[in-house]
Amino acid sequence: MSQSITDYAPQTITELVGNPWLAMPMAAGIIMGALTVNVLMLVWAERKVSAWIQRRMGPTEVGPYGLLQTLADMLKLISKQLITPANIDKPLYHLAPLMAFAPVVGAVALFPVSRDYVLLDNDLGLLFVFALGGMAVIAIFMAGWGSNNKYALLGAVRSVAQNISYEIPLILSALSVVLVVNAMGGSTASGLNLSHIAWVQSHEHVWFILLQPLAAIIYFISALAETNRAPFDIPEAESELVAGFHTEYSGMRFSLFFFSEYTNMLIVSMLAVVLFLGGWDGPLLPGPAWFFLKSYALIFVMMWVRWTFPRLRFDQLMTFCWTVLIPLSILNLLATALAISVL
Amino acid sequence: MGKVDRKDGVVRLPLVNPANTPVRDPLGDEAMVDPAVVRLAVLDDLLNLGRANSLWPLTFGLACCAIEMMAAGASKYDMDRFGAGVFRPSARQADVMILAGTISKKMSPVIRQLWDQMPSPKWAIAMGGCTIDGGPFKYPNQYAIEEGADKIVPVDIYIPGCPPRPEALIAGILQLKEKVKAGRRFEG
Amino acid sequence: MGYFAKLFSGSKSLVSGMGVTLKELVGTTAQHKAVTLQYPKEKPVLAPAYRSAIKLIRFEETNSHDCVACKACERICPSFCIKLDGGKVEGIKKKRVQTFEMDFALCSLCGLCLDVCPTATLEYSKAYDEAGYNRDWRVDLVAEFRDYEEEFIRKQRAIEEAAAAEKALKAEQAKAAKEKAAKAKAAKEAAAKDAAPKDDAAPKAAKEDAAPKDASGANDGHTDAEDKS
Repeated sequence: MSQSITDYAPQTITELVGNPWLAMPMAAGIIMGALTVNVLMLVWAERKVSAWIQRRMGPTEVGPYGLLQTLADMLKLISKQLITPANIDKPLYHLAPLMAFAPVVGAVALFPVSRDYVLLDNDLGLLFVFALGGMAVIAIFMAGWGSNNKYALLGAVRSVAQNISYEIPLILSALSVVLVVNAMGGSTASGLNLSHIAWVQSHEHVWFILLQPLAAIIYFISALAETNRAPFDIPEAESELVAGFHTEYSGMRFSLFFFSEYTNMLIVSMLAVVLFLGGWDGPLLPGPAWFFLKSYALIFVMMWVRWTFPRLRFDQLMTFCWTVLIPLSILNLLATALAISVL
Repeated sequence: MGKVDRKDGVVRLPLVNPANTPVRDPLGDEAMVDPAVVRLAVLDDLLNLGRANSLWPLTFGLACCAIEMMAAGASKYDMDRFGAGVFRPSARQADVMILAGTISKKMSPVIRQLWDQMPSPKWAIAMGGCTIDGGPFKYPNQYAIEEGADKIVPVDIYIPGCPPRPEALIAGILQLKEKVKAGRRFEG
Repeated sequence: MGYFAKLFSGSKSLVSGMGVTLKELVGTTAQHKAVTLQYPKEKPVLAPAYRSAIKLIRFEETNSHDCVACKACERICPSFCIKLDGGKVEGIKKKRVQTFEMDFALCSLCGLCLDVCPTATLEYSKAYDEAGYNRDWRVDLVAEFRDYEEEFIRKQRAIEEAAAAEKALKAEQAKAAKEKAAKAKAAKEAAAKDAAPKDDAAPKAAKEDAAPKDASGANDGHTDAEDKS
């Protein structure tokens, strides 16, 4: 990390605590606790938002405003029987939920919640997040293949096709932001460093959604597809594939998939905030407040989209990606590069 | 009509078999005011509390009663208020099997298979006359209908009607909650 | 439609769709207009034609039902869900039902029993949220009337006695009228015998009596027709 920029030196947890062997479990504890609370609240929020959009009440009877509803769900899922189906591929079947769960937890550490604090400062942060996101596909395919179930396999195959297709516009749109960062932030720090991306937006007083509106839209659509959220939730399309790749998973194994889905939502929203919405940048309120306010606003939009649009057919999904998103994102990248080299 | 008039003045049917009335009326005011969710309890009670408040039904309809089940899940009646609105498509993730509709002899092995696929602890609700004892389809020498869901799966709650109103299904789920909270052991 | 026109119209429809759901969301949260009927706290308003398990109507004059155990409902029931028994009761003429069981789990609420009931003493109850731990859903329809049976017999006997008295009175009156008519006839005959020589005039007078009556009737009919037109 370059020290040439005076007002920018995020402290990692290792620097705060001093001892890396103490910092690691602390970071893990912070992440796990925060993510558990986050998932519990997000599931509750999802049910409430869906209810409100449908003019219902949503959970109201379990705890005040139904806030303890997901806690009850969790208690139940913990105590449910774990069914292991016959003739499965045992290593794949048992590893898949962990494979889905671990990367998303790891990715959370990279996000700069404020100007001064980040759990892990990495010059290749953006690539690392995308790499961990890519592992979700492997987990889903392991689950689908290992389950010895036709619906699970079909869901997994769909998921692989979808995620690989949508990763291209996702990364291309993020790449055009990296170009802008490198052009604006000087050559002192890597344009792939998430703290640096957020800092450039704060320093130059411009959010990249204004410079890269097309990239922002493409990123958001691809992120919906990456997290397997409606209207792109065909890997677990209930009306066709029972429950898709997690058809054969019960109890805690299923809840790990659930956990990773909602954490994935948080990760893509946080990444969108860092890339396009200025990260922790904002007036009056402290950095973390702005960061999470923006992230949860984006998550609300994702829920809103989910409960508005019907599921796409698979060919429509692929056509949309290959004929609209990928050409547009490539054009956007070329135009950005051209503009930077001219200016 | 009935002599068991409740505080709210709703009629109850005067049943021949008085054992059919629930031990504790889940629709009484007491049950609604104090959901007993925050009560500290031993682990078993806590788990039962979680189970009782998170009864995910299987997305599964057999006949006309399923329409009423859908209505109970929709905006007007909204089973999600009690945490029972998450209809899981996969039997592996469901807790309650709502048998809504006529069970034909051809369907019964499928139902048994779905029931076996559900993880314990699990419960079954027989909704409508057909699932209680064959209903209008029951007559001497009939060969097509399974006369009662309890010939296939162990049923916990029986809801009569042809079909029952969505309120009756919600009442059934509330009674099932009471049963789960009571902490009896269930097997299979 | 061209590529960009398609993209544009698609995006427009997506945005308008999201506008619709946002309107609903705001309507539910800000304006508190959820359509949910909070069932155990709120009670539904049932339609007048709502059908549930059958019950016996309580009539005012006897403070009891009027089932005469004719078993018409038991015979017509397509689901074999009604079982009733009854018979003669000491003190009253009417037959009386003793046991009336209806298996709600078998009933399909077709309503044939209501249609066929000769005394119209059946109707639908308004029970709507029955649920229980047992598969036995036989309903005892006469349970609520058991305590009123003596009262019913007393009242019914009074009604029957009144009816019998009235009948006797009527019969007496009819008898008296008959006797009177017979007497009058006899007197007339006697008078006719006395006036035997004038037997040509009598039919003529009768004809004259009848003619204006016919004419007035025809006249009435005519005016009616005119009014209608």
